[in-house]
Amino acid sequence: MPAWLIVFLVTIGYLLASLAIGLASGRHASDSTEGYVAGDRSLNFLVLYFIMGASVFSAFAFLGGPGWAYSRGAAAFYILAYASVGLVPWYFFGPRVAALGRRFGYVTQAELFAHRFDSRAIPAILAVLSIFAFVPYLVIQMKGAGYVFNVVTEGRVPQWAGSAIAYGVVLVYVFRSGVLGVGWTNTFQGMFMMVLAWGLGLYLPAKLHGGVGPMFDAIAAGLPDMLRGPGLGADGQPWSWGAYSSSVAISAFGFSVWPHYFMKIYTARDVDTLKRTVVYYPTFALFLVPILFIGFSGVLAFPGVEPADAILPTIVTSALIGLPPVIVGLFCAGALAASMSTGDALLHAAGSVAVRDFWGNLRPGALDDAAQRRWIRLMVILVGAASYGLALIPGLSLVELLLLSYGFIAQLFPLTVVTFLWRGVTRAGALWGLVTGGAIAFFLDLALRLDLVSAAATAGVHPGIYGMVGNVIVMIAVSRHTARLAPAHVVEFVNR
Amino acid sequence: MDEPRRAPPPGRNPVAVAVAAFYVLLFAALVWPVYPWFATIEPRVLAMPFSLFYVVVGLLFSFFVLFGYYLWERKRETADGDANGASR
Repeated sequence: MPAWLIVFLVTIGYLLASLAIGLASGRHASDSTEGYVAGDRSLNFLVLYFIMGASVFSAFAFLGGPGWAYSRGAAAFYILAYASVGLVPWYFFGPRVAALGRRFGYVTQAELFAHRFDSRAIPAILAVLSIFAFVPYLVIQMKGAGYVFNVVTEGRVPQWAGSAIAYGVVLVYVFRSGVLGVGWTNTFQGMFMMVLAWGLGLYLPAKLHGGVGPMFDAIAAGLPDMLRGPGLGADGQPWSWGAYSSSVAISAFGFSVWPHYFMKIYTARDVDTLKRTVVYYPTFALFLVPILFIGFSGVLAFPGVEPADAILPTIVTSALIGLPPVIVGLFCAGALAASMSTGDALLHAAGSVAVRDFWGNLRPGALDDAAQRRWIRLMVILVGAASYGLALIPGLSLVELLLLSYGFIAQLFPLTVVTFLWRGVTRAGALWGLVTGGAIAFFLDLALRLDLVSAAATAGVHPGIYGMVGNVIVMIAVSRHTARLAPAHVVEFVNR
Repeated sequence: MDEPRRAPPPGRNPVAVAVAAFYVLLFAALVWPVYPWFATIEPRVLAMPFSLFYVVVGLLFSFFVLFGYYLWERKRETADGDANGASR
């Protein structure tokens, strides 16, 4: 049997296993929106741990992580830095969010803010921006899946077909099983990725350089700037500390408030499950270390690979390494698992947010529970189809769009903090803080791209950080001069 | 299924404030102006350049501190539960 066919069959075997797990897991959920979106608030520690863990292992981490280490060296350590603190805020506000969700029936992030600030504008704005943030994120995952299929089958499976096969499977289990399908497939996919990351991360440096130590010795002797912080910029020149630090900051602030993760707080069985998930989260993030080793192993052995994100599939399929086709197939499955375990959560969240937060706010009470579930499923298909359409457009740069959306998502962090800690914040203060922060992040980003503002003028700091400063100032100033919310209402959220 | 217990807000609990402060410091240690002091190649530890080892230690610290706090909270909750039981 030709090698590519073995690779293809192993990959198909993995896809069938994912599909079977995804379909089987939904059988126990109740036939309600709460069952579909929040898994009847019954998820155990294992599943929640892997849902959050798999979030780090997106196609970006699996392909982009080695790509960053390969082309930008120590700059890639920023991923580890933000992963070490990013989820910690959940430990403090997560139990309050879960308790309020249970009491008032929230299943999305915006429902919490809508109730806290007695506002219909805030959730509607959040819904629109969430969808705008989700789509490029999803398109990148789809492209990643198609790309991996294409490389390991030596071009026999075109990229469009690869994306379609992988996301056809995702669509079926998300449609059928909702968040339980996402959770249980992520558990399977997460375990798979862990084994693969450590296996390849230790094997490749050993094979190519005789070990991790000799590999770093060689890079330190030849390209020392790669191993010194903050590594290299996209242009190959040393990166700035402002850019490195603000990348850590914007990702860390944004991490705990991305809408599709935030809504997983409602799925936890109890407070203890939620807390343990946050506590053990860094143990999953540790798996990024071997992922970075993979990228470093290619620096001297495979110079000049373009684009840098192709370094992992390039090494794995190279004749120099001589990996057996079954292992290459498992790698392919692992990369698909990384893409799918992020993409499924995005698809599921996009459907839920569009129906609950956007439509539910425009026409409150227009849909009963069964109709909501039907519409969420329909939206899952529509968002999946739209993203797939975008994934087919060659040369469409989505990474920039994604970085832009990070700048906006981080604006939700101050809003989340004041939700639980400051009685004095008013509806207008929250709304205008959010709008100001988002506008600064957006327009400053645009001005930088159009060269209207030089990177030196902002010290290389991410526009989202300036947005957060503006957000907080405006939120405080407006809250001081506008009508407060009823104390009896506020005390439900801020009880101190 | 149990109704989740309402967690005390962080402001009331000095240990929680200390833990939160630790994470602010940890974050500060991982960015400018602290991290540049440690973002060097030498000394090499566990085969890694020090710039990477330092970040990995940060990750491990993050785990152990929160794990310790979690165990402390659980112990305190158990003690509270026993005290309530005895007074009833």
